[in-house]
Amino acid sequence: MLTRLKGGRIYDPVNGANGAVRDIYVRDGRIVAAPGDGARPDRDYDVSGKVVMAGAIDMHTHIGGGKVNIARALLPEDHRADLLARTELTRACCGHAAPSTLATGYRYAEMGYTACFEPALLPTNARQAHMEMGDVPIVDKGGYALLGNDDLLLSLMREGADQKLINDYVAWTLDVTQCIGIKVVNPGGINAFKFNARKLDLDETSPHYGITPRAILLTLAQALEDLGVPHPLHVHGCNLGVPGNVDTTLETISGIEGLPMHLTHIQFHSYGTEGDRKFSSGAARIAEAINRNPNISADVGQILFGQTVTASGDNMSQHRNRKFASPDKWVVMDIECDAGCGVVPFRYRDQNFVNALQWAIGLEIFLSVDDPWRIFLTTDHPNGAPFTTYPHLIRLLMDKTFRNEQLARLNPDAAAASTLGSITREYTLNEMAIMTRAGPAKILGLADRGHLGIGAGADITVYTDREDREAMFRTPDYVFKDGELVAKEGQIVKVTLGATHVVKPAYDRGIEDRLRPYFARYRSTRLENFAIDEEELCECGSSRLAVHQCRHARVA
Amino acid sequence: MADRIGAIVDHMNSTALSRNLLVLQDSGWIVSTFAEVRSRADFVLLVGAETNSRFPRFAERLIDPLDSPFSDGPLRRSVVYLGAQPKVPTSARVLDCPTARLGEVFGVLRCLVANRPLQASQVAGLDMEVLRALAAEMRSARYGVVAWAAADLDLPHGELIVQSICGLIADLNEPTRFAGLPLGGNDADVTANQVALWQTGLPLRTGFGRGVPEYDAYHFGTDRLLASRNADVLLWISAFDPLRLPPESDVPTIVLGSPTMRFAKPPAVFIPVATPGLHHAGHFFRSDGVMAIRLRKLTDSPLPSVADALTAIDQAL
Amino acid sequence: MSRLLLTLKAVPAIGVDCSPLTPARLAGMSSAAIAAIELQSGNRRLPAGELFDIAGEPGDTLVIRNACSKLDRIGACMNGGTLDVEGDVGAFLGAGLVSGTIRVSGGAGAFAATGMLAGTLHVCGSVGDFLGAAIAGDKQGMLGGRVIVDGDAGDRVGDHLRRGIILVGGNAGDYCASRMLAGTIAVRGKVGALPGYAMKRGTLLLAGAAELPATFNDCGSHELMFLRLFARHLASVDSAAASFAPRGERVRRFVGDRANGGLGEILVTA
Repeated sequence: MLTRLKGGRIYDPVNGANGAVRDIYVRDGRIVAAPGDGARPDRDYDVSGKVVMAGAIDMHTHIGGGKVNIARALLPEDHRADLLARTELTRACCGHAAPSTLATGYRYAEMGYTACFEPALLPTNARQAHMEMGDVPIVDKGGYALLGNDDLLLSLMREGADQKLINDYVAWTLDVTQCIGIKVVNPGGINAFKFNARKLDLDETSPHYGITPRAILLTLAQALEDLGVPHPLHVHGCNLGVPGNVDTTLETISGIEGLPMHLTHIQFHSYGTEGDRKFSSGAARIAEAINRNPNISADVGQILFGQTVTASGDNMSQHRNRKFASPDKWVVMDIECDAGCGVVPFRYRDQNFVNALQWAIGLEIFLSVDDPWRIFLTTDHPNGAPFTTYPHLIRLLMDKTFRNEQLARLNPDAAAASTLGSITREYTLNEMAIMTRAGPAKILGLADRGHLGIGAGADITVYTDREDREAMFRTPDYVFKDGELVAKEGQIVKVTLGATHVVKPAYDRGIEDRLRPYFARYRSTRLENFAIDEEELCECGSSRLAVHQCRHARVA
Repeated sequence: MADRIGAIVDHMNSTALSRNLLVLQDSGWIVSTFAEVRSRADFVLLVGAETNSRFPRFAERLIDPLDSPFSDGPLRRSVVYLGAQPKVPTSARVLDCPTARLGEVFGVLRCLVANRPLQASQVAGLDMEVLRALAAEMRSARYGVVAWAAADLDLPHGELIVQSICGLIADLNEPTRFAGLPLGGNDADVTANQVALWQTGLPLRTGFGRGVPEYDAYHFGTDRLLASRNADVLLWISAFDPLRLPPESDVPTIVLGSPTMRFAKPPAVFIPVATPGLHHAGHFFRSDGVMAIRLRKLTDSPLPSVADALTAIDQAL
Repeated sequence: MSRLLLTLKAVPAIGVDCSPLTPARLAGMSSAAIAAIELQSGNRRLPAGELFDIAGEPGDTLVIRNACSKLDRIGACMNGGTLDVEGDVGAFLGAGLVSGTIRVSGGAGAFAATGMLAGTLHVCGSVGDFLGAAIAGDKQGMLGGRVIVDGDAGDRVGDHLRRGIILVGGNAGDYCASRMLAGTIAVRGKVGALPGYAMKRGTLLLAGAAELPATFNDCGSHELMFLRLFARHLASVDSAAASFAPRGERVRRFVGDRANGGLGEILVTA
């Protein structure tokens, strides 16, 4: 079947289209060349004057896995207030801070998103994460496996294991957990918390292992570089949320010694200690460091006001944050000598000095990083705000007047402490297409996503160009997933299954002989039961395994 | 199917399960998992009579092994039973008290751990000095664990006991590290609850009669629905255990169960089904709710899986 | 003054959500319009006219006659007016009551007055568990107003009670005032096991000696000004539940639940 989108204004930064008027043809789920005269499209959509982009990609969103389900369990009162009624196509479910998997898929698709990446997939909990993601309909999914607090890696490092052995362990982890990247959360800190440490700085040695977070970051970043994994090490750094952590973050950037590194929810890591309240913006220094270091990318983790829930692998920080739980209930877990998690509900208040400044810091970073290819639009869903706030965030970035109106409503001391009011930048549609489509696809190594070139997967979103960018991005006219119309004017019209994006770097299978006895002795599951294969993934609801190329195949 | 026909979804074990869930929804907890307990715990408090009989492999696999990746010699692990004489004899210390008073005992331990003075000289038959020593031992543990099986706390408002346990654990995490270990997972109860949570956002005891999910931890329990006659048909699924029969009621009952099920009072409809992990693949959450285990097909069966049977029923409706 | 009379025709098979039937919502509606209101019953929606005979004029007062325990959520979120129920009612009576008066001649089910904000709820019979308590997930139960129960109350009276007064004329069940945050509960009869369990603040007033948790400390005998004010406050309440309030005599004061650092008080009259 041939589908034509006729006369749209194309924003496709990968292929150099910045509002050019062009028809797009789709056949068998892919974008194809214009089929010459005489070929009649079976379906024709007149999108004249409309804005056409690739489907949006959320490269950091907690959509599935243990901690998200704990968040769901924790918050029946939040769910009761946001019920989605059953329709002929969609099932009854709940939304808001920790939406059900079904609501997650429906609402992302309704907003024009076609791929979501779960950034904290515990290898131990990978099966649950994939089951949950399999039940997130329509959108494609992928996960970043957590390493860097597992006793296995830390033991290997303490023994002085060869980098090659660690590379094999990293590649094996990507393989058996079916992930596309590696994330480290509070390197060594989650592990140290199990030994009763309450903080671990970048150059502090961890209890028992005597290893620094800096060494863990370097080891893992080197492994990904050696393996040719496209996505850089995805780093949730030390000292999350602690005033003064801007220095830690800057040292983390210099400490990676030029290796590729992605700093996630960097807003939470950009705090100074100036001013009466010993809490200030470090955004300018962070943005300057990102601008200066081309090996560094970041997503923001913008906070927006209202009720949400923070769900993180960083149980050390979350145990500290329990005092701010609102409502007052929280969960901290130590998990399987592998990782941990902490879930703390939180309400960001615009009249609270710290919260208001956090809001401003996030926006300052967005607007001060020069290269839109290296900064990504996230709220660290649901930690900064639920993903359903994205259209509001987009308007804040694209509309200076609107932004300054919002700023004027905040805690006045916070507004005064921020440079935000003096920043005049407004993101363009082309930059927005980079930040939410082309950039994420590039940094994840998704060659056939995030653009509208010939051969790309036909994930396409069509918007009406409205001055109110929030309204524009909330309700696209059409959303196509792999060429099928899935949402129309904010309503789901078809429910499909999405693919699972992974990488499969080459490695020496002999690593399993080394891991097997450790699993048998200290873990509560055997190695053979740990791995997830493609068949199982599809049983869990994935449409297919989409394997992406590594930069080079290592010689085994 | 429940969504389409407007039914209420519950699990046969959810009365026990909800003792933990209600605590999670009200105050949360600090918990651990099997491998952590096995490798780290230098102090384990087992609550109730049946942690070692209901979960026989628990002690064998997690409590008895003393080799640890974190200590050069064998781990020194204190084990104490609190609440009742364990069903399976043990050499560990036992502090015997009525289950109904456990919440109060944990409350006293909280006071002792936090140095809040109390006038009482004993609680539930336990001398205050015995509890004072226990509190001191807990404070000095490096990684302590309190394990309980919600099914053992089988009395009304058992969740208040769990909440008291979790409160103590939270307090102990000021000076040291401590974690709870809730034991459950039988008959796929944890599995069913996990799936209900992620698909709908709400746990078991959620109904779909209104076209939107509606959770009622109290009224949507199976026993209460049957007793109040607020349900007019019961669909009972027990693919794992042929001994788990539907509760007695005068409501028409359909059973999807193991072909070896024997009924005192035959249900209106009985559909024999295959067993997950024997006749077909599936997934099963372990007790701690973290590790999902893949169940594989081992042999053929002419019987439908529960999913097949439900799909066929749904299509026929 | 106009009154609307709804008389239940027959006991419904499955519990019926009666929350749409409040004086304010029905004011100005024709009988036909009222009859057409759909009420949720399990997975069905039944027109009110199928369940009730409708008589009189809608106005400030709504009378439900021939009521039974299958009628749930009566007066839920009601805002103003008087709702007079003859017979028993089901669960969630007066849940989230904003203002007005609800009177039930019979008994009520569980979770009466949950989330109630203000107004008066008077049950002449007995009530089930969780009177004025929080539903699962909510951190606060009843938030204000006055609840009077002439008969007995079940377990967990005032669980997570945030504000307001609950008077029980008969006995109360186990865990009375559990996890109470503030407000006042007074029980004229006996209470079950472990009153005040996990209480944070607030006052539980008991007419006679009770066995308290070991985590309450005895703070001695007092003559409290509060009790005189409380008695005066209740002088207008037409119920035996209010009549026992001590008028000046001394009470024994216990403070807890120390288990969670609570400073609630249980006052026991001599």
